This record gives sequence, structure tokens and C-alpha cells, in this order.
Amino acid sequence: MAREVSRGDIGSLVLAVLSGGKCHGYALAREVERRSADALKLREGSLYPALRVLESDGLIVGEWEEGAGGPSRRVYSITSKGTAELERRASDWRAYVAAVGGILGGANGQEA
Amino acid sequence: MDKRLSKYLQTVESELRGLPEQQREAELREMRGHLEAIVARLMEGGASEAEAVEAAIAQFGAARKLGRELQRASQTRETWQQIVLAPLIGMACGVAVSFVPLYEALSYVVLPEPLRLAWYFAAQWPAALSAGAVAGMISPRWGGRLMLLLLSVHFLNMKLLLLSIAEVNNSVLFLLLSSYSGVFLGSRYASRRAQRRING
Repeated sequence: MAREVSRGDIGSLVLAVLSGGKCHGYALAREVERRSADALKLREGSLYPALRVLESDGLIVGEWEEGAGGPSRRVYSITSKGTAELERRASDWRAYVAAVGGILGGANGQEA
Repeated sequence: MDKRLSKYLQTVESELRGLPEQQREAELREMRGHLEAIVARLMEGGASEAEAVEAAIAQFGAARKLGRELQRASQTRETWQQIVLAPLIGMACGVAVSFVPLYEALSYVVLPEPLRLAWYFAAQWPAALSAGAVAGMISPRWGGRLMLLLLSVHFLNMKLLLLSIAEVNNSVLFLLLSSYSGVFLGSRYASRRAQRRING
């Protein structure tokens, strides 16, 4: 069963997806689902407050683009500051996972 | 667009009243496009329009909560330096505009009473307006509020000390209104400028 992404993690996931290329909000949500093999689901509206915070912090920029035969869409891309922040967050996350993994042990609860 | 989607977006919009109109419309346009894309995808998968709309709204989340989060996230964040400096610089501007206390302090000359009162009467409104506007521009949220608090205390203090002077007494309310107007105008200007910078 898909697990809902917590609000605090949405920004990091957005940065990670945008590091692969620019995207609009709908495509961001689909990409999170795809990369997590449907293990994670987003309350999709919650993307927008996260996008605003990332924009005001200068980590991403958004631009309106005319859609080919469709309505215009706001497309986001990561900035160099955002790339640096993504690396920092990814490093913090790996350290956290390693620390928790050390306490919880292996898959069967064995001590590490 | 489906009525339920319209109603959903209207509910979100009701929580975005603090944003400038152009920004509010841009947010709604973006979310409308996203919701319509979800509906289209679900209908391609075999759902009826009604089912797809209901699922899209559920997937997006509670409208009021989303609106409140978006309103909060869209407000410019301020540093503590901005918050502290805003009322200080605002007060300095107010003193500079009203000129008389500065003149008296620097030159050690006390102006004749009728001229002094007339000047205070005329100059303190633009002084209060500019103090509020400058503070509101530097720190739209908290600095502006601090400025209003300081000005309110200052004017009420004046009212208590100068009870015998009717002209000053009566002008305190108008001075407060001037400073509130200034903070409001300064804050709106700063917020719009910040949003134009973000939107490019």
C-alpha cells in the first residue's frame, strides 16, 4: 500500500526530480510515483506550497510556458543553489538512514 | 470546467485573499491545469467524469487546508534584522519628515509656540504615513506591526502628556490612521515587488 509523503520531505523530492530536468506540477507528482515504484503518494495539492517555499528560497525558478495545443503551464527548474542544497539534504538523509539502520539492525531485527 | 472542480478552487481561493489578485489568479490557473490533467488521466483509464473529478479532488487534498498552506508559503519570509530595522528606520524617516524635533534638537532653538504647533499639526501626518510606509516596505509582516505598536504607544503618550492642547489631542486618532495607512501601503508595495521578483 502506498505511503503518503510527509510534508517535510516534499521539498527534497521536488529538488531531486528537478535535478533530472524541468517539470510542471502534474509531471512532478507522476515522477515521484514512478521513481518510488508507486510506494509513495503525494497529496498533490501540497506540492504547490512546497514549490512556493523553494522558489522564495531561490532553489528553483518557475516560468509559464505555452503548451503545444493546450493551456500554458508553469514549468520549474532547479538553480545552482538548489543543486547544492539537494546534495546537502541527500547527504543528511543518507547519514540519518545509516544511523537508524544501525540501531534497528538488519531486515529481521538482528543487531548490526 | 466541472462544477465540483470550480467549487473546490473557489474554496481554495477563499483562503488566498491575502495575496495580490494577479498572484492569486496565477496560483488557481496552475492548480486548475493540474486537476484537469488528473481527471483526463483517470478518464483515459476508464473512470466516468464524475468519478474522475471526485478522485482528483481527493488526490489534491482538503481545499481550505491547501489554501491556508499556500497563503502561508507565499508570504515573503523576513529575517530578524529586517524586523528590528524596520521600525527604527521608519521612526527615523518620520522624525526627518516632521523636521521640527530634528531642527530643535540640532540647533537648540525652540520655535515660537504657534509656529511649532502649526508645524506639528501639518507635518505629523506625512511623518506618520512615511514612517509606516518605510517600515512596511522593509518588513511587510512583522516590522510593520512593530512600527504600528511603537507609533500607537508614542501617540497615546502624547495624548496623555498634552491633554491641555486640544489640537494635539484631536489629531492623535488621525495620526494613528495615517501610520496604519502608511504601513498598509508600504507592506503591499513590498509584497508585490517580492512576488514580481519571484515570478520573473
